[in-house]
This record gives sequence, C-alpha cells and structure tokens, in this order.
Amino acid sequence: MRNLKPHILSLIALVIFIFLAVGSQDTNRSGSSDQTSSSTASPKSQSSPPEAPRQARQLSPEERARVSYAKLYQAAYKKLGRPISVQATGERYDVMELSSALITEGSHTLDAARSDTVECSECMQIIKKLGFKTLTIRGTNFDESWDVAHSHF
Amino acid sequence: MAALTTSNAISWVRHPFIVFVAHVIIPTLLGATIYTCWRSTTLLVFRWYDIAGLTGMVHSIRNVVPSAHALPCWFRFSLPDALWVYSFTATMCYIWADRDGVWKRVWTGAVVLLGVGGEVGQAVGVVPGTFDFVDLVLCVLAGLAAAFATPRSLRRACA
Repeated sequence: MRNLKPHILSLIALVIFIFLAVGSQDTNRSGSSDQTSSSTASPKSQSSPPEAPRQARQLSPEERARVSYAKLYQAAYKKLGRPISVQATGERYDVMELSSALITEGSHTLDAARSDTVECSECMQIIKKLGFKTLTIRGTNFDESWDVAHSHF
Repeated sequence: MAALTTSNAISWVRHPFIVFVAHVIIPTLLGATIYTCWRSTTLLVFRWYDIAGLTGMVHSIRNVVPSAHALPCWFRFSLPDALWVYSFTATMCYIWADRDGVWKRVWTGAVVLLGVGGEVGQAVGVVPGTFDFVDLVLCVLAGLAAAFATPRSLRRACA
C-alpha cells in the first residue's frame, strides 16, 4: 500500500494538471488554444494550414463568426506570402468578428466608440482573399473608447 | 531575540510545505493569473468562471490590469505553459522526493513528455494549437529548472 501511495498521488496530480490544461482551450475554435502569432512568431507557426477561410465558408450571413488574430495572421501569410499585423491599443482586442468593417489605415488610429470606419485597401484586399467581406476588431469592454491601429510590415 | 526570530523564520521557510507552495502553488497561480488577466475570454476557463459566478469580478480585474499589448508575447503565451510544466514537474519531484528508481523517472518523464510532446504534436499537426519554438524552449527549461530546484529545496527543508 505504501508503494502505491506515490502512484495514486501522481495520478491525482496528472488529472489536476490536465484539467488546468483543458481550461486553456478555446471554445470558439474546436479545442485550439488562443495563442496568437505575433511579429516574433516562428516561420513554422506562420505556415500552419489556414483555418480562417474554411470558417468563413461555413458561416451563414447571420452568423457572427469569430476568428482569432492568429488564424487571420496565418491565413494571410499563407495566401499573400507576407504577414500583416493588426493591433489594438488601449484595449484587449483578442477577438475579431466578421461583421462590419473597422479597418484603420497606416498608423491612423480609430476611436471605435465613435463608430468611425476607415478602410485600408491593402487590408481589405487581404480580407477578401481570405473569403471575408468585412472585418470588425473589437475589445471586450464597449463602454470604454479604445483605439485600433494596424501596421504593415 | 532578533536572532531567535530570524532562526524561527528560516526554519519556517524551510518547511517542506513551503517548498510545495513555492514550487507548485505559486507558479500555478501565476499561470492562472496570466490567463485570467491577459488571455482571450473565449477560453474554456472563462466559462468556468461564468458557472462559478465570477465573471463580473474577472472583468473588473481585466479592466484594472495593464493592457495585454503592453506585455511581451512570450509573457502572455509562452510563460503560462512553462509555469504549467514547472509546477507539474515540481509536483512529481515533491511526491517522489523520498523514493528513487524507475517509477520516479517514469512519472517525471511523463510530465516532460506531456509538455514537450504537446508542442511537438502541434508542430506536426496532431495536437490543436499553434506551435511556437519559444514555447518549446521555455517548457524544456522550466522542466529542467523544476527537476533541479525542487529536490534541492526539499533537501534543504528536510536537513
């Protein structure tokens, strides 16, 4: 029995830590984590199979489907051979919604609370190639005004 | 009197339970904090918060902490994984501290396999998620650090 004790404790620890790992799974993307690719992401991660176009095709117009920055980033890289960067400052963006366009141009910042809409032809070209018509970037707190900016590199 | 207090403090700090707190509980809580404050709210853990009625509190915390964009990506995305590997490895080291043999290596190795294997699985596409080399390196380093530091702390605690 004494010999079994560490095995039992190890099993309990295994279950607890796997439970913690499960909590990090994204509910929007069939079990994938929310890890976003950044400008420092490895080339291997950038060349992962794009999921965003497939998601877009499955959506009805009424659906407000969400796609992560990572997926968009990877898909854009795959399609265009170069990365794009979409950044929101002053708020946690995390989620992109496929609804109305809120794309900023160059280093221009946009106060989304004022519902300004600025289209960037380069971004729109990318988004259309990905099978999306429009793209909304939003934060988690709509009460605060927040800035959205993007850059090309 | 001061010397006695210091001595008591040192003996308290060297208690095995404090080693467990330092190497397992604190890294786990730190990882959970990063997830709670700076990761996407679409994660499953936020549903759990919702079920527990903690959503309001969580959003209040997220509104108070610095913006996620002020933090480096490795801190938001790689560090929690590394802390998970660290605390898991430390747990196994703690459980198997007074034993030796093949089972100790099997269980500790299983942790490293889970952490590193998950990353490798992402690279080859059998595990969901995005492979990142920084994740892999930090997970390996975290596992090694825990395997080195935890038994050392326990030896000092039990000395």
